[in-house]
This record gives sequence, structure tokens and C-alpha cells, in this order.
Amino acid sequence: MKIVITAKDSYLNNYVDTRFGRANGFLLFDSETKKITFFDNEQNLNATQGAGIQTAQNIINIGADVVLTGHCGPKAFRVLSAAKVKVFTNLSSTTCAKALDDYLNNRLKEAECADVEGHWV
Amino acid sequence: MNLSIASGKGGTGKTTVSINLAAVAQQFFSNITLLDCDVEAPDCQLFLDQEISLKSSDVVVKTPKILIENCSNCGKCVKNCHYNALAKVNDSIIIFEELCHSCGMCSMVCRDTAITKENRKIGKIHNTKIADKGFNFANGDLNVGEVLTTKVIAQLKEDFCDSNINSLNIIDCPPGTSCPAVESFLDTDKVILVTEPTPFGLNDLKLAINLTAELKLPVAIVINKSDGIDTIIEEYAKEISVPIIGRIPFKKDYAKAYSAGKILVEEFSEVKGIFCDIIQKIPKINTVANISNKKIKKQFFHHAFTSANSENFQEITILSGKGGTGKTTVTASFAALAKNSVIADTDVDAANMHLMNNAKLIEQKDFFSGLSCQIDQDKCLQCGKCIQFCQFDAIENNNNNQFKINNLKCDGCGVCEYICKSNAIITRENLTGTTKLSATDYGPLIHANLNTAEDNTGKLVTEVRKQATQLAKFLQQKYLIVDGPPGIGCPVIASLTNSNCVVLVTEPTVSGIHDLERIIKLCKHFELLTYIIINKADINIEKAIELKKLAKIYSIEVIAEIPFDRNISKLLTQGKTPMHDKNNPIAKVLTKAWKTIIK
Repeated sequence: MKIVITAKDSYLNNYVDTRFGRANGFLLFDSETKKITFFDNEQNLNATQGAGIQTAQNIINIGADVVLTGHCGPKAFRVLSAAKVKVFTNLSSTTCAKALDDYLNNRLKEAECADVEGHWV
Repeated sequence: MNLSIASGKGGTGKTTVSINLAAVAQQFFSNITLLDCDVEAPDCQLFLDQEISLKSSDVVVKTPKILIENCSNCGKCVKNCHYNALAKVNDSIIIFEELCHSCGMCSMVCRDTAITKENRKIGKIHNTKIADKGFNFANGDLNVGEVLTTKVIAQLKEDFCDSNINSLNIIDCPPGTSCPAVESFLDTDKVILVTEPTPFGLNDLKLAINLTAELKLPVAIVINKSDGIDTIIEEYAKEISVPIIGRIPFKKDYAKAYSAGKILVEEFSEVKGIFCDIIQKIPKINTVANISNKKIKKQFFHHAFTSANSENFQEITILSGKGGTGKTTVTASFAALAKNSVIADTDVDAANMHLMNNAKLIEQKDFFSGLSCQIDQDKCLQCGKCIQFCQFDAIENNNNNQFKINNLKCDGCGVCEYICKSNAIITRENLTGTTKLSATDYGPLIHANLNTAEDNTGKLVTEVRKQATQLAKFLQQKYLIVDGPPGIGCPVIASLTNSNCVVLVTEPTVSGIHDLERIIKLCKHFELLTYIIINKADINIEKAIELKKLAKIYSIEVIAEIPFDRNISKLLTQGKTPMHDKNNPIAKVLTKAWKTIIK
């Protein structure tokens, strides 16, 4: 199983990046190989629009099953849920390591819908 | 005749000038229409009692629709969409219509003919007869979440600009110099730019003047908050041969009337005289600003400070729902109080922090973003396909039978590059602005310039913040003070990321209250520690109380109430902050506020 955490940098002990689409990057944890890889999200961080959609698209393309993040807007949520990726939100003041640990020990509750409005207001 | 009223940024009195001109124009024109083209934040209606609604209609654009039975799910449309409006998930394509710019790329690249187009409503335009004032009023509403501001503006102008020679169409333009402003300027006959006699006013005026010069539009200047002499604007106007056709004096009474949503010409006979005079001078606006194309000397940043040292600084962002509320004054004052800070000016559309505190430019660096297209004349066969398929009318066939791309109209969709059989179209990253490092009396300042008619301010804001953060870490400064952009859009969100605390600067006026609530909601959404400063708190006691009630509802502390003081603008004219005089009551109020923030 592949788990993605939105992250500020490649350190597992740093805090979760609360933004989804414009997160600095994401950490991918593969539960089979136990390997952690960092993906830069520069391209979407700077996108004029649709950053959430593209980030979701990239996460799907790398074959993730689960996303751990701070907040997820309606458009990104729509893409992720269409791909049957499970989304866990509200991880605002936790480290990536703790978020991962909490998930692996079933301490998180899956989000049923986007937890915030889209930003293009 | 189409007359555009504009300014480099918000808060200079653009709406005031537009409404007052409309209110006096009936003596001189047979049919007057006021068009509020600031469709993202329309506020003309706050000053008008709308009585009879004549017509409301939808603004419609073409959006793609996928015919599932034909779709082979190849994903070509997703890859080619420059707007991130499509996603490919498992065995289907998802369309995000509100992000679509109707460029037609997806249907063009689809080999399965699985994409058709259908109509979609993105907003509304309304037309109202303001019976007691004798003019028509039209405004537009962009639906929440939509991005095609320019389509609403175009529709508004097409439907309500009366082409009769005795008609006057007054176009209240959106602030700034990016796409919506350019759209409002198209097909306009004359432009009036509203400014103030301060270094900030001048700075913003220059940006707007550059745009009018680029579009070759005849232009004149109206000075708001005039001190009677206005040396700073006078000198510039002379230099570029643009006439000043009116001055509205700086009076507390006027500010009071405005704050209560009143129309000045109805309250003050001398103001009526001023506006009648302006109207009579309109036919004489015939000259395009004379701008010599000075090339900017290019310098480059040496990223010496990339080795991060300390993470221990506090990031404070100063915001206001709209421009002109005193955000920059507060930021500059806080920088003076902080002593060891890095200042970041993220109002990249109209940066002005460098006008204060003796800023001296140290380094600057080009900033690239987005795509722009050019035609390689050696390869171009003038087949005309690009003209036929460009949805933005951005490709022109000039007199020498050469095809050229008008970058003011180009949206960067990439359709021309795709359709061109002779590979004559070159897409490359756009030079959209410059980031700068300056030294000031109160610490280093990172600021930026966005080139005329360029978009993607959010990206430049992110770049400014990134450089400022690196610098603050390297110099081990205690504070990073961010002067935010006006509004609540993408650039504002970009300026908020990673902030420890936000200070909202507002004023007790109808529009002040309206805009404050929107920005409070945004701060709450990001769970940020928020404070409020009320500027010019004593010009309207009732509205000030309303502001405080609003703060209470959202449990936000009001940390300062700054009194109205004409001397402040004098200090600003000299590029000084209220902190230059420690005994000044405003300096005391702000010192107290600063202590609350850092405690």
C-alpha cells in the first residue's frame, strides 16, 4: 500500500503541510518496501489555477492509496475519490511521522467530503 | 463615447470619480450609462439606490462536454490543457468547468471526437435605471469560483455601451494593470486616471500610464485628495505631456460623506463645480502619454544567503480587504518599531513600500512565469489557421502581411502552437516581472514589479516571500513583516502562507465593512491569529462601532484606532512614517499595537 503525506520538505519529523494543492511537496511511504520518497510539488505550487487538481492527478499517477493532509478542497477531493484514494484531513499541527504512525495504527478517521471550500473566491 | 476611469491600484477614488461624473453628466450628454467593470468586487451599487431593475441576463461561455461512448480515455486532452481544468482518473475524464478558459484545445486534440461544446453560465449582468439621478447603471457579477472575469466585462460592455455620439458610457475599471483592466480598456475612447499627490499615488499612476501608452489611448489625470499644488504629480504629468483636468481637495467632510455612502456632488456645491468642469474638458482629452522606452538595466541576485541559519522568526502579515486603507503606513511603522526585521512587499501589482524609509536598490532579478507565444516569420506561411482557431483574437495580420501575436490579448492556451503545421510558433516562458532587494532605514526589503498586463501575481508573491524568508533566516532577523496585496484572491492567500499572525487594516466606511468581513472569513479559514487596526477611526463613529461589533462576532481583538490626521499624508509625501515623530498620537497608538502583537 502507498501512503502520501503532504510535506514541507523531505524530513519525516517536520510538520505536515496543511495545504494540499500548493503543498511544498509530498512524502510517499510504501508499506511493502518500507521506503520513503520525497516528491517536489514546485510545478503546482506555482500553478495559476487548478493546483489541487494537478496535485491529485500526480498522486494518482504514482499509485497512492491513501492521502494524509491538512485541508483538502472540493475539486481535489473529487479527483481523489474518483480514483478511490482514501483522504484523511485535519492534520494541521502534527509531524509527518506522527501522522503516518496514527494512520498505520488506525487512529485517524477518513474524510467523507472536502473539509474546506475552494480558494478561487 | 466610452470613457474609462481607472487607477493603478484600488482605494484612490476611482469609484467616487465615476459616480460623481455620472451624476453631473446629464447636463452635457443625452444618454449616460455607468458601467461597474470591477466584477470581482463591485461596489458602485453601495452608493446608488437601485429602483427599477430593467434587465438581468446571463453571461455564457462554451465549455467542453465528453461523449463517454466515443472516449477511449487516452488522456490527450488532460495533457494539453494549460489550465488544469481536466483530470484523468481510472477510466474516465473529469471536467472542472469553472477553470475552463474555452480555448478549444481539448476538442482539437481529441482523436475520438469525444468532446463537444455546450453553453455554461458563469455570471450575470444587470441593468438598472437610476431614476432620480438620470443615468443608467449596469454591473456584472462573476459567479463564485469562476475565473473568466474578462468575459463578464466584455459582455457588460457589449450590451450596455451605447455607441450614439451624444451618449457617454462611464466605465469604472477594475484596479491594477492585468487582464481585467486591459479588457475594460479595449474599445475605449478616452481614459481618466485617478491618483493622489503622494509617492504611492505617483507610483501607481505610472503603472496605469504605461498601460494606456501601450494601448495608445488618450489620457488625462484627476487628482483626488489634492493639496492644491500637487507638485509630485504635476512634474510627472508635464514630463509625459498628460493634462491634469481636475482636482478634488482633501477634506475631512468629503471623507465623512463618502464613508456614509453619499454622493459628493449632491452634498457639496463646490464639488459639483469641479465635476462639471471635468466633464467639459473630456472632449479635449486627445493625447497619448509620451513614454520613452527606457531599458531597465539588468542585474542579478547572487543567492549568497541560501544557507539557512535560524528558523526562529515571527512572520507578521498586514492585510486589508481593499486598497487605500493605510496598510503600507502600518507596515512601514511596524518595520520602524521592529528594528531587526526583513520587510516583504507582496503587493506586486502596485508595490510601494520602497517609496518609504529611504529605500536604495541593491540587486534585482528577472522573474519568468506563464507562457507567451511568438511567431517565427521565416517559418510562417500565413495560412491563417492560428487566427481562425485563437479564441482570444490575439493573432493579428498586420499591414506588411506578417502575422503577429498580441501579448496583451494572448491567454497562453497553446492552441496556435498545436494547430500550426509549419512549427512557426515558439512558446517560451514569459518575462513577467522583476524581484528586487533594497536597503532601507529599517532593514532589508524584498519587493517586486509585475510587468504591465501580466497575470500570475500569486506566483510572484510566492517568490517574494521565498526570498524574504531566506534572507530573514540568513540574517537571523527576529521578524518578517509582510505587506500584503489588497483583496482576498490568490495573491492574498499566497501572502498568508506560513504567517504567524495577521493584522487587518480597515476604515469605518461602507466599503470598509463590506471588505473586512470577507477577509476575516479568509483568516479564520486558515486558522490564523488575527488582529484589527481601524484607520481614520474618527471619520465615522457609527461605522467604527459597526466594525468593532463585527470584530467581536469573530472574537478578534481591535488593537488600535488611528485618528484621522492630515499630517500623516504630509509625512508620507516625504517618504516618512508616523514613527518619525515619537510624540505623534498615531505613533503612540501604533507602538502599543506592536507590543500586543509581539507579546
